[in-house]
Amino acid sequence: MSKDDHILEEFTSKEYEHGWYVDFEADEAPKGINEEIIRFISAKKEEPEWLLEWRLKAFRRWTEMTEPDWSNVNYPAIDYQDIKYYSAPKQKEKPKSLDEIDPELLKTFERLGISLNEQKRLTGVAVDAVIDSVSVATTFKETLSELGIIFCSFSEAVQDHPELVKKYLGSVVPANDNYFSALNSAVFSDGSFCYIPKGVRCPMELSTYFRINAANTGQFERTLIVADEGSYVSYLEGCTAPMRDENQLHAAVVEIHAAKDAEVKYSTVQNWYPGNKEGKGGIYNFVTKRAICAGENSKVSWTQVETGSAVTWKYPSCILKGDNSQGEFYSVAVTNNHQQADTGTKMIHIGKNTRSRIVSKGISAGKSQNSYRGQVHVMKRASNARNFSQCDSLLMGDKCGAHTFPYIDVENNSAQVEHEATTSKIGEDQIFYCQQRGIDEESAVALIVNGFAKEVMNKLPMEFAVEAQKLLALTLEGSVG
Amino acid sequence: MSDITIENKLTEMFDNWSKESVHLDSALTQVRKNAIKSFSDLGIPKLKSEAYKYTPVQRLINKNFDFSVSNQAAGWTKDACKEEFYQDDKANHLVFINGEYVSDYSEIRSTDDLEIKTIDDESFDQNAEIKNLMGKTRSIEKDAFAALNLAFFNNGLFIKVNKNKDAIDTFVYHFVDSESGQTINFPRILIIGEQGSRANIYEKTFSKGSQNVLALSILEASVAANAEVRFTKLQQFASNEYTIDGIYANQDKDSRFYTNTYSISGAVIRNNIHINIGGENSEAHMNGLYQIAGKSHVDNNTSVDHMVPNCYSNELYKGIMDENSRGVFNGKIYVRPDAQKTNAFQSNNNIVLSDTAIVNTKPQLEIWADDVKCSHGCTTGQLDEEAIFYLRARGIDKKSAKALMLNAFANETLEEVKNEQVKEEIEGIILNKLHY
Repeated sequence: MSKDDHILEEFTSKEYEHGWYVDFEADEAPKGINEEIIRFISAKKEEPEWLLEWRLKAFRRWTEMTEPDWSNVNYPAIDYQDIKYYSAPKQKEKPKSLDEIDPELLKTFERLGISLNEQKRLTGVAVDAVIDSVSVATTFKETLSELGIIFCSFSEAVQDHPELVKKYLGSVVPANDNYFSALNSAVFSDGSFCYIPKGVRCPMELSTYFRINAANTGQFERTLIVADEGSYVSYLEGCTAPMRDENQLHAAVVEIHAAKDAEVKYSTVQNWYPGNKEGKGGIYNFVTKRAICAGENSKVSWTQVETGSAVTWKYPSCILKGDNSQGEFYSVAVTNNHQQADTGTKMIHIGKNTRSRIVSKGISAGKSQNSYRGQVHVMKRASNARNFSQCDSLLMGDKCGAHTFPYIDVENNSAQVEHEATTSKIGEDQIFYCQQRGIDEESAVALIVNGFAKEVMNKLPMEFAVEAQKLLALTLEGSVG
Repeated sequence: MSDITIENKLTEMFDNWSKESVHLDSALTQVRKNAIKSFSDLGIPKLKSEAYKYTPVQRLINKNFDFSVSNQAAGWTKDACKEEFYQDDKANHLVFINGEYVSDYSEIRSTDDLEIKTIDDESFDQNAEIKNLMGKTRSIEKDAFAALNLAFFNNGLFIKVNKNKDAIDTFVYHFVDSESGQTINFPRILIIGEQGSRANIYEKTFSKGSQNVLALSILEASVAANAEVRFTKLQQFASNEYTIDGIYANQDKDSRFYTNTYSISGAVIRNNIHINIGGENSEAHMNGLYQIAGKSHVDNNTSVDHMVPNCYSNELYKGIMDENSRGVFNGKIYVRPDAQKTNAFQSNNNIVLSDTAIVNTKPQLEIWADDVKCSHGCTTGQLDEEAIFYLRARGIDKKSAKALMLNAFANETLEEVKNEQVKEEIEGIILNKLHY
């Protein structure tokens, strides 16, 4: 018993293990947003004229928009003039290899458990590490470029491959798509860019690691993945932030373009700082993620494990434009304490014989609120479209809530759409069954929760699955009483 | 388009009415004045309004009604109405003409177990129950149409089922006549099921005339402890009829409330059902079928508010959409933080028969308590090809096989209709629509 208590003690006191921050020398823009700031960011990045124009256009559009309020979350109003829109760790020159990177930076990632060096040697995952606003290192670039794969920071892509960026930037998520995407389009500072050429199967997992470090900053990165005909890529995204009392805004945009026969698998383990037990601090995660299956037989699969953030508000979506294309969405969203999550997906069926599958598992504990909001829209010409959606919610504790808002719009008579949802708590009989077999309550709950989320966890790449399972256990520690 | 809004037209109509009213200072007029005020504050729901997302009421009303309203119903004489009654001389037959309850035309058979009254200035003043319960199931500050009905209704119907009485069936007929011009009707019914009572109420509409009809009807039910109210509504309207219908119920402990709604035809039908379960061990059942074709548009918006623990709600809605019709379903289960041990189920199944029909559905769960069992399921699809093949292999032609399957699909929603005559009639209508 004492061992259990010890573990329990350790876990409950272990609030958020990535809550520290490092004092780098940082290059920052003053607080606030205006055209000057956007010009400043653009100049810092030595961007071409067209991109600056694009940013300014987005900014002007943003000023005309109002912040949406339809989500099932509550948070104090954000003062957009009180955020620093640009912060970058100071580097004298662009590093050519890992050896030239500020050792302090490398240490940061080591502390996060993603040693860039080690990662390179052992796991064979190519990592693009983003701190605050800029990408600091990308590994395995050479190996990848031999295959013609472009994997680099967004700013590098703007310099080196402007034709690709120009063609695809904003093609899936237009600058004026919504309030946060417009804001992002105006001030985005960096992000990852990835292009897989025709017929290439990317030999390793590509990964971006996002880290907010500086205080009072917002993180606005942009990821653009283009998978050309017949290519395949599996992409991972991880995120953490320091513990701070104020809330920080993360408004990213992820765009995926899958051409004919291409397949993209995008996995996220989101572990932004969720705020403390009283709900103070934490990240606002307002992200726009969207993929287009532009070509025939293309496939995009979103897998996400959401354990962090004070407020999560995002809907990774698929536009199934090409005939026979497929979209998938697997999600586990765990909320504890005062966390709020309003997340789900949109599957827009445009092409014939398009298929989509949604599996969403929500786990709420403490005083948290967890909502699934999704849309399945079968357009008129999407004959034989097929969708299956399943949203299950698990409630732990009597102060939390679980909500479901599925929208199903069908305009074609050969489409088949199914949706099912359940909400329940862990059954006393289930716990009893485990206890009878000598499994204590805490482990029984962990066991049941793991089983509940397994369908989604199975879809994660190996490296992530382990981390995600640990996170799941950690987020829920102490929530059973 | 003139820039005079519908809201202005309606408030003006109300002002004119209240000036010429003989009961200028009655208590009811005061209630009406409050209602019209809330209505003008709220306005007709805009397209952006989440609850009316798929039914653009404002545009519909603007496009189809000019508010030069005539409420004459010369076509419906007492005998003409009587012709249409169900053949049941042990039941109550109550008549509404263009939205007003007409006691002269009605046949009331039972005064022992039921109390039936007209709601007007006088009865509102004298009857404490009407005064206390009318307009209380739905906040007029939240619902523009509930407010509008309260402001405009004339001669409402009050039904009270006496304590511990198992009341005889009650049929309510709405006769609509738009021969002499467009009409806007505001039928209003208030049902009180006293402790331990049981009631079965059936509602049906007959219409004449070719001008546009807008019916904004409200039914309120207050179901006391251990009482049961079953309510069945057949919506078979002409293509010039627009309906916005509200059923609002408050339930006390150990009570049961059933609604069965059959939407068969009409230009636009919008059904709002809202049930507050305010007493433990209560049950609420909502069944519905929308089997529509042509350009019909049916929007069912239901919500159950589980306010207390240990209650049960069940909802089954089925839709068959043909031609250019559109079916909308929005079901909401709301479980409050203290409503532990709630069991709530919801199911919505749709079959789309044509390329041009549209289904929008949104089954919604909002759950704030942990010890609950709530689920919803929703499907949209076609008939099972294998089942059709099975039938055809046995010598049944394709059309009949399809009709057989659809009939079976639709009939499930009829289980809670207790009156055989009504049940047979609805079954007949369903079959007829399948061209069996």
